[in-house]
Amino acid sequence: MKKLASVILTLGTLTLGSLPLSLAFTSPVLAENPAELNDLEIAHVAYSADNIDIRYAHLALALSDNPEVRTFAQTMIRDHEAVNKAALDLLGKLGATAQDNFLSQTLNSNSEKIITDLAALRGAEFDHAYATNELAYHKAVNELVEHSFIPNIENAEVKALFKQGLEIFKGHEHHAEMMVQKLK
Amino acid sequence: MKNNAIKRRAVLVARIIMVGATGVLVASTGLSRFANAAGNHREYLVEIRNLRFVPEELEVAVGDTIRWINQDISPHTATALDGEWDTQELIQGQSHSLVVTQEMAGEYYCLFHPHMRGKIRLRQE
Ligand SMILES: [Cu+2]
Repeated sequence: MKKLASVILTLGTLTLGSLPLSLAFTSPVLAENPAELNDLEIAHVAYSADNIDIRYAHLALALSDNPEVRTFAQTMIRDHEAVNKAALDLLGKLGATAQDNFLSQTLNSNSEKIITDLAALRGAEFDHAYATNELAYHKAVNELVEHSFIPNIENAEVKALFKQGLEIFKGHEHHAEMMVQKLK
Repeated sequence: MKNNAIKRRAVLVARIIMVGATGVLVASTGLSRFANAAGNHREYLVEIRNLRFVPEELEVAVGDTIRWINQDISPHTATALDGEWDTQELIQGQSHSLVVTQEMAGEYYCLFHPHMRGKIRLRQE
């Protein structure tokens, strides 16, 4: 639970560091437990997390001239769209709909702030902030998927999909790490 | 789920066939260890799964065929480091075959996930 709290704080503040600490600590998130979400709520969180990364990537394509950053952003769009499509197909097959919940809402409102901050940057400054944010974001989401979601998902097919997704997102984390190194 | 994966793998392994005069079905991935009989070009399979080329290294002869099949949800490519050859984008379940040329010896990667690496070694006849 302690670990979870730190993951959520990371998801909330990420690396721009501009969220006041008090906001992070009074965040209602800490009153709720991600490990208690049901499969359909977990699916909604993952879907939201995918879409957030796709939005960051579109921002990068609009603002960056760095080929490294652009290739990475295109991969994020391609992969997260593919994973979302697989998730929607599976939910459709199961006759289910993802359920909105506190964690999806927290992720979404935090991402608004990050997008505003990123959008104010240009050139190497933007590239560096985008890359650092991608690394932190994938780290935090992977942590959540691996330790809170996968152990708690009940449906076997949903679990299998999350395991495949995790492999892809770990690849992204590694890719982001290489990108951060190169941009130093 | 697991059974399906095993079954799918068995089908794939069975698809590694000898191309050429004999057309014999060889149900073994250890094929690359066998000496290449003159005139018999072979087909090798590289599966892309969990962001890895499997097998990562392949020993082949000029004229053999390599088929890459993507088992991941995310699209991938197999592309020469210098861009000389390329499977183009493979979505899940899609495959692409290339006939091995002298120039294909060496490392290759995935355009979308540059840390994914594979290697082709040429067997001298
Ligand atoms: Cu790839």
